[in-house]
Amino acid sequence: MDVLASTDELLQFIVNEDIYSETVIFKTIYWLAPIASFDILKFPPKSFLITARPNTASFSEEIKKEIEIQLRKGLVDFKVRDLINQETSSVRSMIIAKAFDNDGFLDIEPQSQISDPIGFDPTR
Amino acid sequence: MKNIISNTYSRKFRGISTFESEAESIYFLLPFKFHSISIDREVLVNEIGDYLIVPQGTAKAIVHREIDFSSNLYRDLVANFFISPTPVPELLNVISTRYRTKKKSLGSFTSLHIFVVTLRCNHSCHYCQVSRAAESKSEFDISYKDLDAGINHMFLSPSEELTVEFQGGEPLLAFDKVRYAVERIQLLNEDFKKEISYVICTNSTILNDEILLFCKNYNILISTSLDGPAFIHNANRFKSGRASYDLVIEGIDRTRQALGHDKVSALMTTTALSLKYPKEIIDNYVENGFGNIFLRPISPYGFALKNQKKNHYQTAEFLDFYKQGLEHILNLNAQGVFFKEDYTSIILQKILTPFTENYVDLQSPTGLVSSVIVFNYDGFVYASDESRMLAEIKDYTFQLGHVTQPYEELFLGDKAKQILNNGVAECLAGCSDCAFLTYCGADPVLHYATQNDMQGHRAFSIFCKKNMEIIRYLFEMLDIRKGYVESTFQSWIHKPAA
Amino acid sequence: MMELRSKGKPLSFTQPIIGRITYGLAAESSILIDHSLDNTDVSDGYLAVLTKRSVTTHLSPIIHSIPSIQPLSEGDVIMMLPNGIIQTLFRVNSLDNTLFTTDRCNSNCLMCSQPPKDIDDIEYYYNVNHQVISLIPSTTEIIGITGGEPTLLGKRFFDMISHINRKLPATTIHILTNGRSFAWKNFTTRFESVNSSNLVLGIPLYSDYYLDHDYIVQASHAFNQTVLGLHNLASIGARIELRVVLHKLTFKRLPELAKFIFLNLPFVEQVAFMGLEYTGYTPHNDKLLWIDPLEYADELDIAVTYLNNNGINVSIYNHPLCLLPKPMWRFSVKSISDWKRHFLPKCDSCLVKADCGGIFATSRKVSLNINPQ
Repeated sequence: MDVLASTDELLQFIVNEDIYSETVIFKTIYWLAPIASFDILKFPPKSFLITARPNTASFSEEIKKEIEIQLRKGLVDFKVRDLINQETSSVRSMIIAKAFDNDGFLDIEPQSQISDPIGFDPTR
Repeated sequence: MKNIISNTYSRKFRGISTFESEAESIYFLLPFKFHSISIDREVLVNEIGDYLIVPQGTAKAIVHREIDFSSNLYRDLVANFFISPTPVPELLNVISTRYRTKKKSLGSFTSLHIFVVTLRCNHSCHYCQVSRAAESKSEFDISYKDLDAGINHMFLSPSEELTVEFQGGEPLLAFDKVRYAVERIQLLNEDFKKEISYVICTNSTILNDEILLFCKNYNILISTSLDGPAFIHNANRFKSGRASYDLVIEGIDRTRQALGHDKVSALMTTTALSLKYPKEIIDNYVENGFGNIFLRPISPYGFALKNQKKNHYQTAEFLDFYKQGLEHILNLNAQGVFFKEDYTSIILQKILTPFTENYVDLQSPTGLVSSVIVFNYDGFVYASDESRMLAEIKDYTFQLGHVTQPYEELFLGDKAKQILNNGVAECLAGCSDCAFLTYCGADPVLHYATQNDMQGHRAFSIFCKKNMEIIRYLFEMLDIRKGYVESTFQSWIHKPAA
Repeated sequence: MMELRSKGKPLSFTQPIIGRITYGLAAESSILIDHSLDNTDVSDGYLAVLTKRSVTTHLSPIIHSIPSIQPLSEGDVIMMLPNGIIQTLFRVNSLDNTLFTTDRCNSNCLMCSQPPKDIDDIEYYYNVNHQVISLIPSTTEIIGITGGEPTLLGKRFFDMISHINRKLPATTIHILTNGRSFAWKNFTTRFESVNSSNLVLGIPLYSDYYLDHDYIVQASHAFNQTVLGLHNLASIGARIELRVVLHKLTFKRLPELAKFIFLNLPFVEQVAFMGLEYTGYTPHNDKLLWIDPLEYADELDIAVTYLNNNGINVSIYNHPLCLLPKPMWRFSVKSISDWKRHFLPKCDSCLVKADCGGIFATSRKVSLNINPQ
């Protein structure tokens, strides 16, 4: 993330869209709504432009610093959350579907082996 | 189909490395969330509410597959369902059963039925939104017809356990209605055979032998209001004639003698005045023989309703009050006084056990309608106690209809659906990624009242601000003050207060 | 299996005989202990006879010339083997009776006190146990079922439980199983049809981490199968006691295991932490397993306290009190059978000997830190 502009009325950041998706950016700025208002624009060829404007008359230096810190941390954290969500969405669906499967339609028998030398078979 | 009997078998002992090499050399993620709890620590929480407190950056390291297979952390992560050696965990059934247990409230539907039998009251508390002192009887008491209709609705609830709560105003000013309702419910229950418990929420100032005998006969619990020492209680709860505090303490003593010590509980309302005196309020509860207190935040309903700034300021003040109070309570426990804080216990039950607590504010999907319903004195039906407070300032958003309407129209109607659809935290912006989701809830009434929107914006939400900080604080305590604090917390979860 | 045996000279039988000891009451299934001194044939009305005398001819089965007959009570059930060995199968005055069902096992625990054998002995033991069950009094308080792994009996497992349910409706049945077979729903469903509130399953769990458990029981997938089995059993309302053996491979994660149990298996009736019995495979695996109990006191303390705080019943079995931190004493149970419980000479001066779990008589190695209190 790079700082493009930083004035008392405007803060602009450039974020590489290959690294941070639109979802990750929106989830990050959601939490910053009390201290600034945001616009997100495509910034060709491969970036997003994040513009922050003050909720009051102008930004103080502390608020500007705060926004930058929160953005950097938020992007990293929400990217991690996004990766987890993507990788686990199907397992989460299975957990929830099975949780409310009252009739046992989704029961899975163990796929593992049982090792009895004489040949006991628990499924028979 | 795979043959489940292994034919490669020998009784020669195999080393641990043999077992390790049989396992996958990669791991798969299971759904989990994380949240920073201090400068250098973060908490990982899985889909079923189990947690691990770890160094900052651990979540990132897990996702980037940087966890050493031979480390204890790797074992912790597998054993606690954060990662799995197989794409679909072999213990999926176990995880699902645990998820189901955490969402247990969904299975039973409405259990708490609140009957506002009258709005009349002998107090004029400055924080009260609803009471009407000294009004004519007929106008502000519930009618027998509406009472009957409410009772009939209650028995249509699929829940096997029902709690009937009588509220007011001061419900004992309409004791005839309370008596009528209890006797009618008892009679009908001879057929329905549900497990029913009764609570009367009273200021305890007009209890007499007749009422207490009645309570004894039907095993009715008394829930009274006690705001702390006399100088706070009387300032909050104004009553003409004798001071409220003396009357309440007398009432509590009398009730305990008649019904037993554990049949009386007390509820505290926090006001701007209370915020300065957490220790005094708690000590007052201890002195009066209570084993628990519920440190409740200032109700945003009424005066401060849509003043965001003031609400947030008060939330910060409340959190200080809560933390001082909690610290004081932990000190009491260290001195051998068993005393617990109820809100903390509810959250801890969710954090430290595989079970959950059906507390309406901390339920997702929301417990409004599906756990609690209010039959108001005028026959109108509301989703919660707070909902009828809104109605007193002419906002009927959470009015489900009139008690004379059919069950389906009230409990499964469009209003009920709208409330429910806005009350699933798993689907709310800001909540869906939150590590504390499993412990928290959605509160459509509060968000509507403070933000004009049932879903609300989390960054502006006093509900979110309060719960995030309380839960974070509890995790920090569990992390750095383990030992004694953790075993005290465990005792709060498992031991009854009385 | 009872280790009390006597041996004498067999006569007039070629197949094992199972019967009930009597000192005089004649009945179809009675085995008379004959203390008479003359050489008359006393077989009339008895299934068989045991005697110290020397006998040359006898109409009914007899074991004679027994140098010393172990103390047997009226009603005890014994088996007479064609090689002259007398095996006690059931003692009416004991609470430690077990039915041994098989030497087979699908696990191969590093610390097994009774190492399994890969033989098909199920029908043999089933027949023996079937007769024993028919002969023991219906007032019997408790009977254990052990092996090997009893669920490997398959159909015979359920047959045996229903037979006990029928013959001994008031008797508590305590089954020691690794629980793995219950991971399969249909096995648990079949079990449900014979389950009762008198039945308790003792199931071992050695770690919260699957590979550690699998390694200790020497069977891949065992952990997941056992945990799934525990959940299936809970869903049919089975009574479960979890068993954790304390040794070098289990002690480090005891606190984590305790947490796993409360969070994932809160339905168990009891968790038993058990001292290591130094016999069977254990001496062979001494280097892997042996640790002085004093060295795991902290981990055990944390685990026991956690479970107890969370409302789970905890017991410590097979453990001398002097090797436990004092706050743990109240959890200690004298679980070693009287005939297996042993004390050191220095224990005689100990003030708490009467309350002590003692050590296994079969244990060939004991802690050097045992000291009178």
